[in-house]
Amino acid sequence: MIFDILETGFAGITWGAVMMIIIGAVLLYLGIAKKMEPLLLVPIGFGVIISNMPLAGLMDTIVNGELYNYYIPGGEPIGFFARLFSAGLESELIPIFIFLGLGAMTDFGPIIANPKTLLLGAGAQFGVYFAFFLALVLGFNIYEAACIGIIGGADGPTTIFLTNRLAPTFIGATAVAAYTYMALVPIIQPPIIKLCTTKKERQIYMKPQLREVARKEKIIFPVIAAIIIILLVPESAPLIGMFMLGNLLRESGVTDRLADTASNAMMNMLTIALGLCVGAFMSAENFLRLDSLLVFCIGIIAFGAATAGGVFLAKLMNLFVKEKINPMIGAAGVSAVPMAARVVQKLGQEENPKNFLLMQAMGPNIAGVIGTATAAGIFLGMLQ
Amino acid sequence: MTGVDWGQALQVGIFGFLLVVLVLATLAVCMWLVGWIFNRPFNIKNLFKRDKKPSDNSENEPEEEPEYNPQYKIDDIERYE
Repeated sequence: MIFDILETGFAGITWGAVMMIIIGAVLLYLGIAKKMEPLLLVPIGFGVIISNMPLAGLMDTIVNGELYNYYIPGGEPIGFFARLFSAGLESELIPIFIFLGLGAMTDFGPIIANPKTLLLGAGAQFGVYFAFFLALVLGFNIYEAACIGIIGGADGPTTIFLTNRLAPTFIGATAVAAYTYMALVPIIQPPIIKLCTTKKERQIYMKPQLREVARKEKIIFPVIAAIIIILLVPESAPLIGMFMLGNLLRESGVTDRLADTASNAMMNMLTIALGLCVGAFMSAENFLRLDSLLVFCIGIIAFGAATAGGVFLAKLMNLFVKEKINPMIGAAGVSAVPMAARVVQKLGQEENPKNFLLMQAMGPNIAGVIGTATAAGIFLGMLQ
Repeated sequence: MTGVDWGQALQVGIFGFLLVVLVLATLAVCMWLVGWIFNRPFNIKNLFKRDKKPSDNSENEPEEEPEYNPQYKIDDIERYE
């Protein structure tokens, strides 16, 4: 009787929607029970569930006068999440402002104290380009391959930024792959690091304390870095510019209120919006495709290659430097800050209890963020 | 999924990777230079300190300050006013 006067969603349930609701529940489980990137996986998981509810209309989009119940890039957004997605992600506001917050949260001290660790961030970008070629071999076009490759950098906002520009229909798959692998850093990285190093190499002792960095150096760094990187790779300006501005707000010492807002309130709001947008984009039509599964498979290979690339570059550097570096810190060259550095610290402690590699690993870790944003800018510059 | 222009792909992949390395290497050199400039005066000062020889003319040297003696601690300053 009630079904005659109130239109419920039961009749509209499809197998695809059920599958997506299960995927959403798995993401919620990983976030809440396993505490894997909960700040992202919880809004993403919940976004997946509610946006796949039949007749909810949250992602309704009109294309050529026809109404679709999932988001189609370039269409007219009607549903609430569709409008949020269009205004926040398609316009690139959210990932770019997240970089402002990241800059305000980052201490560049470790790379200023030990600039050669910046090179280890470049080593880890090997994974990005390895996956780029792998995706091409597997039949993706060059734009899609670039977006899949950037997953190897393990940087969510950069992945979203690049995918939105080059292959918008892949945004759900690449974003979820990037964030999932970031969450799985403690599981994925240790076996790869052990495979690429000998026990003796893992035991190399490094002084835990870096030199003290003057305040003036910390203020000058974001300005110089922004000028150099944007001059060399102009397309990286939105990400690098905001990242360095956020850091300048933090280090200048005169904009504490702005730095506090950027790193706390603003960052939290953007994280909620980003998670919901990514989750809401994952409709059965957009996500349950063979190429999405391939994106996940290539993504994990990219991540593994990035870890190995950083380790091998550290080993190569050891041939030329007087004071040997522990090659494990090269693995922190992926952008997952600070999880990758923590993994290196934990492994270092297991191999040699005297080793405290956290500060040494933070250098390549931050360099990884800069390197991935630069790589995204290079892809945009060469492909757009 | 479409056909691939491998010439363009190789250009994007190889040139792109080398450019990332170049950007980070340039940044590393610049930061090393900035660090060197900022820390140089302190190093020179330390160098002079180390090279300073003890003077023979002990009359010109200031007397050492007396060590702090808790016996002379002024507990109640009002007593001395």
